[in-house]
Amino acid sequence: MTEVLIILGWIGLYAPMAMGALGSIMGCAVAGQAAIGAMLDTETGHGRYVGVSAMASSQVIFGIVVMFTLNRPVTAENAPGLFAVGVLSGLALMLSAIYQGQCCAAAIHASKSKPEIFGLSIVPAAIIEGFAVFAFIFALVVAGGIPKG
Amino acid sequence: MIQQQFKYTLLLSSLPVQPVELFSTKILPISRIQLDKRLLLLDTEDSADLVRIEELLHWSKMHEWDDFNIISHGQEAMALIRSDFLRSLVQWRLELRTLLTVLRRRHAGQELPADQQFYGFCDRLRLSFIRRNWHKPDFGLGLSIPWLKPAQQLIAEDKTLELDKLMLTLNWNHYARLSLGHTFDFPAVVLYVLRWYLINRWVSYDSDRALLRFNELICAEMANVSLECEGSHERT
Repeated sequence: MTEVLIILGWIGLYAPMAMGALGSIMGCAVAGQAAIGAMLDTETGHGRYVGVSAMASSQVIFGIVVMFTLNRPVTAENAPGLFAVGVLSGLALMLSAIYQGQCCAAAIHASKSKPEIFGLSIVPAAIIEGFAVFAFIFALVVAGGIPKG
Repeated sequence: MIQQQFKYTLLLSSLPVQPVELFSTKILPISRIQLDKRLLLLDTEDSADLVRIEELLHWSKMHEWDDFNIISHGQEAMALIRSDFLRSLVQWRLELRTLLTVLRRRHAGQELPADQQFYGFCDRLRLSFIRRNWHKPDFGLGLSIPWLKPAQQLIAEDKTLELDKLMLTLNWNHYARLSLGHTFDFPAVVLYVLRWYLINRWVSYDSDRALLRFNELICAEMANVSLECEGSHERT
């Protein structure tokens, strides 16, 4: 039983980083493809398309910070806490990155033909970023209560 | 799931946005050559499906067969389309054409004897319903297919341009409705191509060129008639 707990603890430790990275990969890939497509159809504004397509990369940074905050010797006492906080924050970061990438792709697609809505079109992606920040901040707060091992 | 929904993000983002209103369009948003270049991004199976759909729906890609062969080959090709959504899309358009053909046949004074086979892309039940209600203006289908009545009226009044506009509007609105929820997937590509055909058809309407072509055809026919007349005079 202790071994299982230790394994879960290690999974929780690395989960925010791994899941955040997975989300960022998928999100940036979708938004990046939209940006490249938009470049084929437009003559200007390419820089901002690339900028928007990178929005979903922040989740992997949040994941790294959460991982370092959780980083401690894994014991049977702190393993359940590490697993819960790590996996749940990782899941939230991953999903937020995926959906943020989709929002960015839609924003690029829409602002390509109507450049004046560029600012407004990235608002949904910014709102999703806000939720990712909530998940990140409160993971740090909760991590403070997990025994140091 | 996410992979399928965003499979053609690059392709669809590279295509110019199509207009909301068909009849306000004056030029094609993208030429066929450019569109074909972008469609090279489709994978093999999707590309084959698109070719099948275009062959089923676009007149220039159809063969000159009789009704039976068109229907049987059409149904075979339709069965090969992998997506239910796309199959129903094609079925809807072919059904529309069947109903329009039926309206035109009746307007031309054709009857539908009980012993004569009647082919169409509608299901058997609807075909037999049409046969039973041949003499009703909307074949008794007016409630389920509301466009039948206005189309029948336009055919009766010989308003071909208005009829064509009605058909274009029906197709355009249907595709617009279906495209909701399909932004970067394969159905979105198919809908883009089908709407491109509608735009192409609309922008190619040119009354001056049509008049010129009509005069050419008349002149060619008149030349044949005069040659035949000269031939018959020589024989006598």
